[in-house]
Amino acid sequence: MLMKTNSISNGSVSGQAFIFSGLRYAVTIALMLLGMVAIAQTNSQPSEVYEVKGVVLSVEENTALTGVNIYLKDTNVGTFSDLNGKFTFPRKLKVGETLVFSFVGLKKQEYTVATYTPEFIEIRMEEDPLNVLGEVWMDAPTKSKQKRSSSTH
Amino acid sequence: MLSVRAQVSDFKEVNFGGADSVARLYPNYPLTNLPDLADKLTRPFTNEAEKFRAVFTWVCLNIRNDYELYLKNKQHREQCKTETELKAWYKKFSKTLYYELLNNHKTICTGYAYLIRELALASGLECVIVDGFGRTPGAKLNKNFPNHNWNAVKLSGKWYLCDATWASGKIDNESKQFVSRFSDQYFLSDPQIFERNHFPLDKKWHLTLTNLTVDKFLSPKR
Repeated sequence: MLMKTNSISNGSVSGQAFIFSGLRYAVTIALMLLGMVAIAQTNSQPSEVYEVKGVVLSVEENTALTGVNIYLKDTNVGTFSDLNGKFTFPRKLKVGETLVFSFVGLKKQEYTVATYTPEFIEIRMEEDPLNVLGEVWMDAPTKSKQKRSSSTH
Repeated sequence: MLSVRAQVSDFKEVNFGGADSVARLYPNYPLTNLPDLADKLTRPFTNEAEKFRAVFTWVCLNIRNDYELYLKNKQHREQCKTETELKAWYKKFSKTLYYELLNNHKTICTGYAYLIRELALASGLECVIVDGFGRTPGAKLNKNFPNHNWNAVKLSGKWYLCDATWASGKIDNESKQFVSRFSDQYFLSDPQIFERNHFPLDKKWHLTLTNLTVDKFLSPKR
């Protein structure tokens, strides 16, 4: 907006107006630049990757679970939870990638990386009880005792 | 689902020697990373039957049937008077079972069925545990106590039956020790033969048209 000032002289008025709009322009650019820096710092760009760290706990016992497999779905990339149930995934992950948590006897869990992934995630895993039925294959006891050739007598 | 006579002869052009060889490459491989084991066993194959065969053979060769676990479970089960008590026992004993499987590679039929299912799922195959009755030479069957688990697996769009527990070997009657003896008669068995000594609680897992009822199956006249 050109400011109308009392004209001092033709030259000076237009000079002042020009400087003013120039200043506005410079300030606008500066604000835009600051804004871009601010956006970059909040990490919301789609191509951003995250380091995912966390702990794996048992639902029933509320204790740390050691040795849980943690792998990136449909890949061989993975790690295990340590003695304290903690892990750091060895590869930075993108939004939408899924981690799978698995261990013999526990129900599998998945975690999908979201835009606002917390710095430290807590994964709780439940036991997977089975109907334990359990027949063995055993030949019927023989009535006549047939000695095998490798008798120990 | 119902595919009469879906059985191993569906794959008669497939030579399972390759899958068996791959299974033998990983003796005593740990169970601490099932996706990794499944990948090693199945990666060489594109045919689903071969993938499953590698898993099946591996389990049969590396997991031992344990008589003491079987006995402990049987005794406790028979003492349970209510469904609640039984469920509580299963929850408790499952932990023992998983521990023994993971650390000692030994188990009873439930553990075999569980491991087959988990490795199959990790290989991208559909697979379930089937609960029911298994008739073994020594078994005294009781209608109130289903006594066996096995698996059904979907290969190339059709369901098949298998029993890794019985395929892996047997318990010697005198020593009560496990004798490892791989037999593929329980790999993708003919459902009409399978039902002579397997009766599923859920009838859809007969995988064949049948008039068989649980009473007929359990009756000694059969």
